Formats: sequence, structure tokens, C-alpha cells
Amino acid sequence: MLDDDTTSSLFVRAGRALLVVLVLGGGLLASTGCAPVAPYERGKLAHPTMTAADMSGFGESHLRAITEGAVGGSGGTGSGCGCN
Amino acid sequence: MIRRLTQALLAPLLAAAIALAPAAASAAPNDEEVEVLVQTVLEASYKEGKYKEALDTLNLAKQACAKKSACSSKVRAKLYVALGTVLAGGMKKPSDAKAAFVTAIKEDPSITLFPDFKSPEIEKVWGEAKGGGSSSGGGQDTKEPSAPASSGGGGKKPKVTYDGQAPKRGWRTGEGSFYYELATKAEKEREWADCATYGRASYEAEDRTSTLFLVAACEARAGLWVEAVADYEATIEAAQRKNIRGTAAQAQARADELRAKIPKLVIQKPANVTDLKVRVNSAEISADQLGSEILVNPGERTVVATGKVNGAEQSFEQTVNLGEGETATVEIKLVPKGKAIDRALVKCMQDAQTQDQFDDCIAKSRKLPLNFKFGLEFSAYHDSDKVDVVSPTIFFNVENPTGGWGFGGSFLVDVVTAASTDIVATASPRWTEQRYVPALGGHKKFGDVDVNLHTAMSIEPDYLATSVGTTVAIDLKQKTVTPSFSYDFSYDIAGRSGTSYEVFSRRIQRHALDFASSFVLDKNSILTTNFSVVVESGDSSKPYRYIPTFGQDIAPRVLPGQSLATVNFYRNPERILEQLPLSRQRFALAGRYARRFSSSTLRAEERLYADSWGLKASTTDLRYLYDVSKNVRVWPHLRFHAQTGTSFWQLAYVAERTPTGLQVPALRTGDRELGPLLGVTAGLGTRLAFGEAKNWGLIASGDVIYTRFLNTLFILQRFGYFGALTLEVDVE
Repeated sequence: MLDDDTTSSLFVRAGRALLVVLVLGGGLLASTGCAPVAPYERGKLAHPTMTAADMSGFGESHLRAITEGAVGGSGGTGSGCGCN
Repeated sequence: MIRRLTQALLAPLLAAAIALAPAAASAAPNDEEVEVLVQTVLEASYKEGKYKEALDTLNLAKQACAKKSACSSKVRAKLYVALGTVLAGGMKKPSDAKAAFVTAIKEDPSITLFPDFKSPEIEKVWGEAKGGGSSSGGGQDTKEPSAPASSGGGGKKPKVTYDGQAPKRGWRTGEGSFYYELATKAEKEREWADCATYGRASYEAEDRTSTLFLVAACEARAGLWVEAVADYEATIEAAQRKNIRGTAAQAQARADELRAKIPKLVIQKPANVTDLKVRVNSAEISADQLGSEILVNPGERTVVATGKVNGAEQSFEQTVNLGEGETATVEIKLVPKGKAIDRALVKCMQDAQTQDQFDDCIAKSRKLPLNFKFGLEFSAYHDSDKVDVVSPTIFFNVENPTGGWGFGGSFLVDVVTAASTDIVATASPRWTEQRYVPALGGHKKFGDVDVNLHTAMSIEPDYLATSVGTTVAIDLKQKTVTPSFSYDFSYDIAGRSGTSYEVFSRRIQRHALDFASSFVLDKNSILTTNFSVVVESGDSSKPYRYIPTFGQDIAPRVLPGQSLATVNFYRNPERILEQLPLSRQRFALAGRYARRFSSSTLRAEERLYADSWGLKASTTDLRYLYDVSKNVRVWPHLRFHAQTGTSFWQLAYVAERTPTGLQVPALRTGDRELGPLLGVTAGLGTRLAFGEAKNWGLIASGDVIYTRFLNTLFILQRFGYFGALTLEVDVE
């Protein structure tokens, strides 16, 4: 129902954002190569609080999905919460 | 009978040792079990003077190693040393003990006596066995850091001994020239340990600086780096004293080069322990060395510690493999000896009639390499708009870390009761509804690539959502960079409660793409970046949601937060249903940073969001998790959310009467989450670990969520209260 210009402009901006992510990611990838962390130095990284995933529980995640207008960015989307 | 009873009593200790044995993979299938048996017998039966029982159990272990491939030489050697120890020290049978020791030395020439179970009589028999044992004598085992350099690789007994030969030309002693010749011969043959041994013998007979230099060079090549550095340093000192500048400079350069390569071991001692004894590959470590860097030779180093906690004897063992320039930290975590109970293994071994049956006992006793996690979460939500939700969830996860696969699932039930302003505004009564959400997923690693498949459903009386998805992640740069890609497809059917989907339903399809990557920034921090796109198509307008509309002249005078009575007084009498756009593209860019400090973790997340409906949002989430003690963790939680409204959001929609009827806006909604709002969440959480192995966890968390609606009817703010209680257990 929105006009095509608005949608295509959004896609352009999304494409730019993705480009920024790729550039930043590539930069980080290159920079981490300078200081590799050996397996025996990863004790702290293995701590349960250092998980790369979202720490929210089931109820909290669902609460966010229905009380905020934004979704995504949590490392996995589209699990079909079926919120209505 | 007594024998069986005593061995049955031994079983708990054996089982405990099996349970507590280091996870490192053994070279042969029965290695782990036999090592445990040996250690348990020595620490229990032998120590308590039950020598016959100790011997019987060791004979069981011997049977476990009957097949050549069942045990490695190192473990078989250990077993025979234990047998010899019991025979010499307990049964007083020196000749049998010697035979056992000889077998042990044949199996592994580098084997030594158990440091905790030495006595003069055992050492005497051991000495005799070594004298008549393996001719290879000088093994490759390295000297431990606290020992003097002179007892290093060169401290081994020479294979060939001096027999009174005359000195060669230029030599003062026959012994010096004899051993030097053998050392240079071994050097040519690249027998570095022999070279060092003969060189040492030559140097002890005649202190030539060039010989000491040769010893150091051979030690370096034999992997005895600690000893080599010490000998290079001794060479420098001797060369400077004798004014041999070239040799001094050369030794200095080599010592510097080697020093930079030597691995370091840091051993952290536990708190509240008495009588702590720490050994690294049998060499005792002094108390002042604990916590600081200890120079060690490359290769496997086994840290063994014993001590008393609250008067109870406890032990620890961990093996680390150190390479060039590496530093490893071993944190001593003492655990009680003889804790778990598994009488079945020893009983099974005793009852076995054949070797196959015997082997089966060990195979059956072996734990499945699986980690299980089960949990139950109970969460509840209540807000000032009279909405209540309770959600019990049960979840489980099975993980095979060695096989690289796992699967899990969850089942959530939502019970929602609501009598919100919106419901009252449409003259509807309070309603209660249940939602069921089953979910399943599994993953498998193929080398560095992890493939995950997952599916979920959400079932309500008037809404059915199903989704399937996959995530592919790859470990790069030694697992410091893990990019991943996810795709999820969901198919939803929205209906009306009490009406068949065949009569009324709307289909909504959703494609979600997620590009994420986690980066290990350093040994304390991880950054995860994420870009997600969700493309939705279908009519997601709520079939129950009616939008108040106003005349052209009234709409500008409607104010945010206007009461229900006022709105009802001024609005058009017609009930107009919500109408949303038929497609939506959503984009989110997020970053999550986690940093671990000594006893706390900071987690910060930021998400920027925009969609094709014109909604833009920023969400910031902060958690600071602090370990109050080993068993208690607490954290404050803060979250800020701000969003604009969608482009079609209006406080008061205008509907004009025309000759053809009421003209309403094409797009209209009353969903406050599509309007501009600010949300602030503040909360606290705590996790309590309990149980004998601290594998149970109870997590309690609570949040207060304040939402300020910036341009809505009826209400301008909402206070929400969320609490969750989770009980989880990890079982290995």
C-alpha cells in the first residue's frame, strides 16, 4: 500500500547497511587476525555469560516481540511467534 | 565373600575416579578405565593396608589390558608400576615386584614410580629393575622446572659406560674423552638424548666449555629447552671466565632464542585448602611458584594436586599440551575422592567368565559422551492496562560435544487474560486465551561448518503459525570468527475465534534472512554483529480491532490520552475495522558486545530497526552479571526502546460522509506498538547454582517496563511487571 519509491528507497538503505556490516565485519576479521586468541586462553570466553546468543528467556523474548514494534537482530528470526 | 565385599566397597571410589578422570582422549580404548583403577587402588586399598584386595583389583585391570590394543604402553607401564609397588611395599615380594617393574620399564622406558607411593624398599627394587631393565634407559621425558639443570636429559645413565680407556690426545682424562666421543657420535646419529647424556658424563669428568655447549645444543634438540637454557647460561659463564668470547656470544644468542620459545605454565591454587601438594610430571612445585609463570618443556604436562578442604582429602589432575611460546593456565579445582557410586563395574568384572564379557563390562560402564540440559521456566506478566499473561515453558537439550551434534526442544504455553482499554472500547468482555508453542531443533557439525535445522509452531484458537528454518555457521581463523547465515520461512493462518478457517482466514507468509558473525576480539571479549531482513506478505490486520474515526472538524481537536468516554462521545458511530498494508519489509542491524572481567560480565546490545511501514526504532540493552560467589550470580538489567510511529499512524483518523457512504482512510490502525513510543525497562536477576556438583541452577529475574505512548488515545503510559523463574539442570 506504500508507494514503490518508499519501498525501493528502503531497500537501497538496507543494502547500504549490509555493505557497512560487511565492511566492518571484514575489518574486524582482518584485525582479529593480528591477535589470535589461543585455545588455552579462552577460559573466560567459555563462561556461560559470554554466549554470543541472546540471553533472554522464552517469556522475556515473547514479551519484547509484543511490546516493541521492532524485531530481529537477535541472531535468529522468524520463529513464528504468531503474536496477534 | 570378604574379597567380594571389599571390592564392592571399592567400587564407589573406582566409579568416582572414572567420573573424575580427565576428559582428554586416551590412546587406547581401556586406558581411561585402567588408569582410574590403578589410581583408585593405590589411593584406597593400598593406602589402607589392604594389599591383597589391591593386588586382586590390579589383576582385574591387568585383564583389561590383556589385548595388546586395549591399553597403551604408557598405561600398561603404569599398571605394572602399581603392581610392583603393591608387591614390594605391601606384599613384601621383592622378586615379583622386580618382575613387574621390569615389565613396566619395557613398556615405557620413561615411566617413574608414583611419587606418593614411594618407600625405601620400593625404590630399592625399582633401582634393581632399572639396572636390569630396558637398555634404552634414557627416555625422552623432560626435567621439571624446579630441578637443577645438571639432572636434565644429561642426568640419565649412559648406555655405554667408561671402562678405563686411555685419554685421547688433548684430553686430560680418559673418561672425558671417551664420553665426548660417544656424544659426538650420538649427535651425528641425531640421538639427541644420548648425545646430552654422554656429553654430560664427559663434562662431569672434564669441564670443557665446548662440551657443555654440545650438551646444551643436544638438549635443545631433544626438546629439553629448560635444561638447554640453563646449560647455555652455564656455558656463557664458563666461556666468559675463560675469555672465550666467540663461544659466549654464540651461547648467548642461542639461549635468548630458546628462552623466547619456552612454554610457560601458570598454576592457580584454590582457596581454603591446606596441605596442598602440586606436581608437574612428578616434579614437585613449591608454593611460591604457584600463580607465577613456570618455564616448562614443550609437550604434555600433567598437573597433579592433592590437598585438604575442611579436613577432607581432595585431589585434582589435568593434562595440558604446550607448544612453542605458549602459556597455559591451570586452575586447580580439588574434588573429593571417591564421591560417585557405581558398584556395577567391579562386580561385572569379577563375574566375567570370558575376556569378551570382561571387555563388555568396561564398554557398558563407559559413559555416553552426552550432555543433557533440562529446564522449566515459569514467567508471568501483568500491566496497568489489565493484561495478564502466565507462560510455563519446559525445555531440553542434548549435546554430544565430541560428535559435534545436538538437538533440543521446548514447549511453551501462554495463558493470556485481557480487559484492556481497547477491549473495553469495543464493548467486548474480558477474554482468556491459551497459546501453545512447541519447537524442535538440531544441529550437526561437518568439520568447521555447523548446520542447524529448526521448526516451531504457535497454536491459538484463532491463529496458527508454523515455521521451518536453517542456520549455517562456519568457524574461521581458529574459531575466532564465526559467520552464520539463517533462513526461516513461516506460514501463518489468522482467523476469528469460533469461526472455521474455511469460513474466514488470512494467510501470512514470512521470509527471514539473518546474516550474523561473532568475533573473538581478545581473550576477554566477543562481538556479535547481525543484519536481518524479514519480508512479510499477507493481511495481518486484526479482525477484532475497531478504529474510532472522527469528522473532519473534530479530528484536530482530539488530544493524546483522550478518555474512552470522550472518544465515544465524539467519534463516528460506525465501527471501522483495522486495515494494515499487505506487505512489510523489516530490517534490523544489531551489535552485541560481551566482555568478561575477573568475576563479572558486561553485555551491551544495540539494535537499529527500520521497516517499509515507516517505523524506525532503536533498542539498547545492558546487563552486568556479577559473580558474588561461585554459586551466586546477580545482574541488573536496563533496556531503552524508542520508536517512531508507522507512516499511516494517526491519533484521530478522519472519516467523511459522502453521498456514497463513509469515506475512511485506506490504512488505519489502533495498535499502540505501531505508534510512537518510548520504553524503559529496569530489572534484576539472579542465578543460584546448587546440588552436589553445582549442576542445578535456579534463575529468578524481574523487570519493570515503563512505556510512554506519545500519540495515542485512551492511555499515555503503561507499567508492566514481568517475572520469570527458571530451574535448569545439566547432566553429563
